[in-house]
Amino acid sequence: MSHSEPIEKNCVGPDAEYVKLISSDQKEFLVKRTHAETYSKTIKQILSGPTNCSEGETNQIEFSQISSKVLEIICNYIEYKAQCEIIMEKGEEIPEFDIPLEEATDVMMAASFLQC
Amino acid sequence: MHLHFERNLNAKCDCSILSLTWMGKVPDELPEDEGWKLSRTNYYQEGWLAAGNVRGIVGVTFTTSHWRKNSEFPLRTNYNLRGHRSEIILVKWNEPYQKLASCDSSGIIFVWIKYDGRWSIELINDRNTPVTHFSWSHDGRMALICYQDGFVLVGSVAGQRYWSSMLSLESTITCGLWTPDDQQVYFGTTSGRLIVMDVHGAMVSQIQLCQDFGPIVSMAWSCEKFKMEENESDTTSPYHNRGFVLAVCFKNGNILLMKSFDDVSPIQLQTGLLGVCIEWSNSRQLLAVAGTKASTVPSDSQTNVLQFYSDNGVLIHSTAIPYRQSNVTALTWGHNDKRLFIATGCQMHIAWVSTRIASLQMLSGLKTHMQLKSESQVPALPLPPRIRVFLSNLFAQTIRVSECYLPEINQMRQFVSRPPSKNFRLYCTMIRHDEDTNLTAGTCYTLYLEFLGGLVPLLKGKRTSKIKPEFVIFDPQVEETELLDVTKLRLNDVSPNGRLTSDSSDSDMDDGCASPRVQMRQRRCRRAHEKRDLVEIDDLTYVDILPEYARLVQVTSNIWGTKFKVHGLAKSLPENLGHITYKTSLLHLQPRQMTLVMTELGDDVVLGPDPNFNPHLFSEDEDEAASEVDQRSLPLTDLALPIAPMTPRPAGESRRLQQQSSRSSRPSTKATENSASLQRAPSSLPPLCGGEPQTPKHTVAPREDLPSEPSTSMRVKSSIKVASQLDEAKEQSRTKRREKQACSHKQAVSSLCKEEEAAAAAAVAAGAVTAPGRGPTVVNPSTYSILLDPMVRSCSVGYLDLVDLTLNSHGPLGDPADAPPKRLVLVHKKEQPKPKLSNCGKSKSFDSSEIFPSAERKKQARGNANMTFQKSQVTRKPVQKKEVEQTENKDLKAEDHVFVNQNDGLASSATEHNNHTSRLPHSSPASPALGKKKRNQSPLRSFALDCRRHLLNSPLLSRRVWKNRNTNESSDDEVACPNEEVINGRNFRDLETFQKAQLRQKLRKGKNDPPSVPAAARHREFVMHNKAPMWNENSQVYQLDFGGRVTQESAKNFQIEFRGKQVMQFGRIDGNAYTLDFQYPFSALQAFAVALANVTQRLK
Repeated sequence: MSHSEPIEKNCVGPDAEYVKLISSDQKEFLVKRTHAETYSKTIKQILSGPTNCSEGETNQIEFSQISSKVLEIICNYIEYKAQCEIIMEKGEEIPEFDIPLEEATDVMMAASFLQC
Repeated sequence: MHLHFERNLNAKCDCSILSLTWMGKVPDELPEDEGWKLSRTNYYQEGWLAAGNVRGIVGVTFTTSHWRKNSEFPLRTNYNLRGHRSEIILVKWNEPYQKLASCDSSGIIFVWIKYDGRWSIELINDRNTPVTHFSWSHDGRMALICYQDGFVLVGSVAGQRYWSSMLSLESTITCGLWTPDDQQVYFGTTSGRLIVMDVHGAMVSQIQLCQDFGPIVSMAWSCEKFKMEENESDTTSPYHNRGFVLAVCFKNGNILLMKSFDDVSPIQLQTGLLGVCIEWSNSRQLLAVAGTKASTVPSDSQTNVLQFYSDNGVLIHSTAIPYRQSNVTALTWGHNDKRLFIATGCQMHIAWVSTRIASLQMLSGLKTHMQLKSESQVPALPLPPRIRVFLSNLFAQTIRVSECYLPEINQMRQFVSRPPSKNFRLYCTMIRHDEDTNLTAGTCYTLYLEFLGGLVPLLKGKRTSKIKPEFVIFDPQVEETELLDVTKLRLNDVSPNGRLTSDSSDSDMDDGCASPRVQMRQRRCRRAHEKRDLVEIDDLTYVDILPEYARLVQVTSNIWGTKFKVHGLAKSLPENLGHITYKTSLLHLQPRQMTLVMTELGDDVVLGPDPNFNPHLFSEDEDEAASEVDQRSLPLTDLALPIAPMTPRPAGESRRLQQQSSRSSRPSTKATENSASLQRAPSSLPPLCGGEPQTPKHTVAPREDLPSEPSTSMRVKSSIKVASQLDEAKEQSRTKRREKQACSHKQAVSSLCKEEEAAAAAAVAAGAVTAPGRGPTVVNPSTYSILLDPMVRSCSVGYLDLVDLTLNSHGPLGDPADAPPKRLVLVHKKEQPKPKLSNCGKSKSFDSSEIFPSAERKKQARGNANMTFQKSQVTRKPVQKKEVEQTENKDLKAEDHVFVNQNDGLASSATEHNNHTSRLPHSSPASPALGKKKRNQSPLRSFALDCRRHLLNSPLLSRRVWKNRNTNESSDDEVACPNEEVINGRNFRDLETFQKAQLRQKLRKGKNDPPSVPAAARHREFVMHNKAPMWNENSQVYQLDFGGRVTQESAKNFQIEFRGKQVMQFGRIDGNAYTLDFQYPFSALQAFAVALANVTQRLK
């Protein structure tokens, strides 16, 4: 995930390209909003909720239960899945997505929550 | 797409699997006129995987893609189909017709069809030429067979030949297949040529494909294997060849994807694999390709790779098959492309395939899953319940023959020492290994579970005595602490030996096992303990990996090999597991008769030593007595010793109390009081016992403890009396009356005995030893004696037999110190007194009189019972049940007249049977195990029969007797079995007592709240008998229906019945191989013990 300035701007407002996910240890991750919404039903529900994404506000979701390590894996997965779509269209071999063993159960719980 | 391999350590065969095929499971019900109409998604959730292996066995095994165990299993989940005599190169389901074709290397093709729960061969095709390929058309109506010599044949599914042609080629046809529209057939040859013929056998074209690719190995069209939808059958539909892709696989690992045979620009795939197997998924999007990575460096381990290609030739996915010790030998899709079955030698791999990208939850779940050793660890994880469920779902097994079928390696002991859960039956093979024992004398036997066409070793037994047929059964489970070493048995070391040569499969199987075993054995001896690798248990499948250093069970025998005891040696088992008694048979002319007393093994079984059980003590003498005098005197001594010292009541007080209370709870005390003490005696019997209608003689003889002498003599006298009475009074009416008298007289005697016996039983705290069936049974001998004076003696012979049985059954159980072992001893079949040498002819006829077509007998008995019950207005459940059959029975009764005098003999068993069936909840083995059709076996017999017919030939007589007995039974029930709706046999003195009893019963029924079963019923025994074979007049052999599981005639074949149902069968399938199928109440240990006891030659 890139943390550069221009992207930061893009997560403000209802039409923002990115969404900011904040882990329990206050690390911030930016993912493309379309990807996040496509590959996580939970994120989509949160973002489509009434309280979020009003004008001038940053699109951010805080996950008080998800550590930065896990959240990073989730963000990676979202991007991976987006990549896979492209690869599949091309008809190429799909790479494996690897999850570090020590995080597996935590990722599983988070993924279960996020429905991704 | 995503794929992962299921962790299924048990999915393996004991020899190389050479071919796989899968089809969806259709409901067991018969299809309606139009056939099955099933939704594809549901239909493909369950299926049958057929596997052909090098031993010539076709395994048909149930598979399911349900995640959880909630799915219902078919009654039988695995079939090992025997029949081929050389290795099976090909198995192919015909899904539309639900048939299975299997081809072996000798060229024999069987078409199997399932009927009535069993698979049998419907068609045999043998051209004496090896078959290279076999293919069903997509509509299932036609079969294409390619022979090595260039002969090709198209026939119908029913076996009719449409056309055949001898193609004179310089090369061999290696494969043949139908085009998707079934209008043409394609052949591939070793020279890389593609031959096209039309459906009528006319040559269409021959194309030389890339010459440098070498031989064509296989071909596949990217269409569904079978056109299951009717409307798609015409050629204009998508089933026209257009749009489908033909994959032609060459030996060098290259694959050509062609749109048709004349495709000028086929797509060429270089898989880089050797020994490639291919198959298109049903959705025709994925070509699964599995093979071994071609490597320039010779190494002992290969890398097996699985690849998936799209129909335009793009490699979509590639993964290594987690097994290196053998090449990929077969591959097939299943469950509507959700599963892929891959065989690498003996090992089966099951891939879960999804065309979508796996969710993160799935990926992380799998990761976690891989770290867990077993599903039992899941609940311990700190996870929310939903995720735990998800995680444990990943442990779901596709080949899940049933929850209880295949043992986990670390639960072997538990598995073999518990009966399979209700209704599940274990299908096993037992093999004798003579030659392999290089170290110790003694023949080894191994019991294997049949699974996936192979055999999974369960138990190993070894003969321990050269003189007596005694065995020890070893503990199949190695304690973790004893695991010192890892010995990995490579299965592929073994499989070459497992190949069949020429003769039958089982002996070869043996050979196959043998050679690696010898080495193994030696190695093992050195190492003393062999560890089974818990992760990679390759060795599970092989014969001698079963450890031999811990003894679990001992089978002891008397010197004659007629009596056996099964002695639990391990702490986890009760000491007394059961015993087996064979009736001696003169010159083995008659089918074997055996009585089993089996301890029920459950989790609550009473463990530990049983002081009263002596595995080496057999009452040997009974059958030996040469003279009749001896016979008579023997029982007395025999009996007196063990039982006499026991004083009647005191010890059994508690039981008594129970009974008393239960009795007093009934409003019918009046009746009880009125009835003579004789009648009360029975009532003192423990409730559970419900009665062990032992055989007539059995029941009575052994139990007379204290006054054993007087009572016996009385009994003998009485029977003699009856005999003489009958002799002199030949008029039917009189006979009837007398008979009745005799009965009541008998009953008096017997109930006397009973009282004592009950006391004894109570004293031993064995509980439930009863003799409800006794009254009737006692009558039995007397009726015999009626027939022929000398029969009295045969009665005493019978007693002798009995003694032994009862002693045995008492001994083990009766330990007052033991928790309150409730013992349920039930006998179905009456034992037939053995003919002595001296009065052979008579006893023979005597036997024959007892032997009666069992069905008939049963029915008669029921009919009788019904009559009685109706009369007394008994409307308890069991009776109602019977009433259904009643009309039928009555019809059958007409036949009674023919067999009148037999009826008498039969009566006892019939009533016994009655008892049993009525005593439903508590194991009453309703064994109709009566000699069927034995009567006419010899002229001698029929003569004797005739004699008797003349003697006593009133149907009324027999009926009367029955009635008597039946009434007794019903009243007994009320007295003795407060806790269930049961009708027991009991003696009544006369009609009055009977009526009173009936009254009581009615009153009690009004209460309709039976006292509950004592909770402590922990130790139960069941008495069972073998089913008497039917005499086939035409072929002059005894016959039993083994459901196709037994292929050789043998006197050792038998079936055991329990509660009217066959629960165990054993039969020879080869010189040293037997099938052994069993279900509750047999545990594998007990069944194996019985089989071991049965395989040896006995002296008498």
